[in-house]
Amino acid sequence: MGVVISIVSQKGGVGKTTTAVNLSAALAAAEKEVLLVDLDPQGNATSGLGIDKTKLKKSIYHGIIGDADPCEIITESSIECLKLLPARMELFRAELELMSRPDKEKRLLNFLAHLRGTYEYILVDAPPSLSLLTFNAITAADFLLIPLQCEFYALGAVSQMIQVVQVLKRRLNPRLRIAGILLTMFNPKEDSCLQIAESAREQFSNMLFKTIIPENSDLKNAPAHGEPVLLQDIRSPGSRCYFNLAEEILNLSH
Amino acid sequence: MKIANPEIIRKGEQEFIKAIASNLDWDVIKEIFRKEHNLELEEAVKYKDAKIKICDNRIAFSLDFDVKVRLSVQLDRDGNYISVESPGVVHKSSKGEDEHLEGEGLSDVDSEELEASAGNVERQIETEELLSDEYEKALEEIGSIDTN
Repeated sequence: MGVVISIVSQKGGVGKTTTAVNLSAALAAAEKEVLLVDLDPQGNATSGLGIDKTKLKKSIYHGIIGDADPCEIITESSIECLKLLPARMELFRAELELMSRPDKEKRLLNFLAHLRGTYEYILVDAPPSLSLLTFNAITAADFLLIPLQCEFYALGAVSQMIQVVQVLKRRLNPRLRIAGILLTMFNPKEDSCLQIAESAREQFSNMLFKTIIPENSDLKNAPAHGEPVLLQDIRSPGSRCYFNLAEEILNLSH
Repeated sequence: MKIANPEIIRKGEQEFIKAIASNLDWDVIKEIFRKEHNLELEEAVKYKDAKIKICDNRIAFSLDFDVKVRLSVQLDRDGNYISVESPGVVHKSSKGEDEHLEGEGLSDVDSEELEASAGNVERQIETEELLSDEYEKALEEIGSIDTN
């Protein structure tokens, strides 16, 4: 049975999509069958894998509202073992359309149910908000990965997120576990970064991944080329870090 | 190696299934619902979805419909559940004939079949209410995280 890992944070710009795309690519490079689910209406994970959104017939929106089967939506990527459920702006409409449905927070869980037999890892890139789409990402997940950008406000956002997760685990998804908190955009030359990392170790010590994602120009530039960083330079610091993170994920007990 | 356009096959299948759905004998289907599930359909039935599948080693057409069913939940003054009633609820009489129950006669029903059916309906209602409830409660709790 495949494992569903949702990458969540209500704060934007913390490295969710960068992590979703590059971790998916690193797991696929390790010959794991991986499905990346873009659940953010901005569709950045979709364009980050070089998919032209205008040429798609259907997207995750159609799947989540019940208008399409997965096989109609799943898109190939440039990595053999990595497939994508793409997203476009139309996904915004799903929030409104699902609101009256009794299973509104379980649409993604149900939609992914049959895919767990096909893919070893299903990664969900959630939107930067506490919305119905994010609750779907959390309800569908076995594990959560919470990025923590090395910035003061991000520390509070992670504390809030953990409280939200505790509520949702109790109310909606008892099997939910936090895979880990991932420090991102770390710059050892900045004192504030070092302080945030230290505070994170004090507050979340047992939840932090060993891997720390550095602030790195390769990671920033990769989306412009529509490729994960490891396809551009497999030896870059960004690539190495996501390989290390993939190793930690592969060692998760499930 | 594809030898035909899957989109054309899918569309053809859908049209085929819709043709079957539009020619169903609804009197017979309503009778099946009444006899097998003790349910009387109230209003128009809306076609929702269909699939071709294998059932008992035979090709079968699985048709989904949205239908409206009126159910009355019976409980006593202490709040204990007694039964669920549909307008078309039936039970086997001692002579083995089907008989409509009316009004207060329902409490006399002691058929295992009816209880099992009512139990399923009750569980379904409970599950749906629980889901909605838990979601609302989760939102309420999350909304008070910074205030408590």
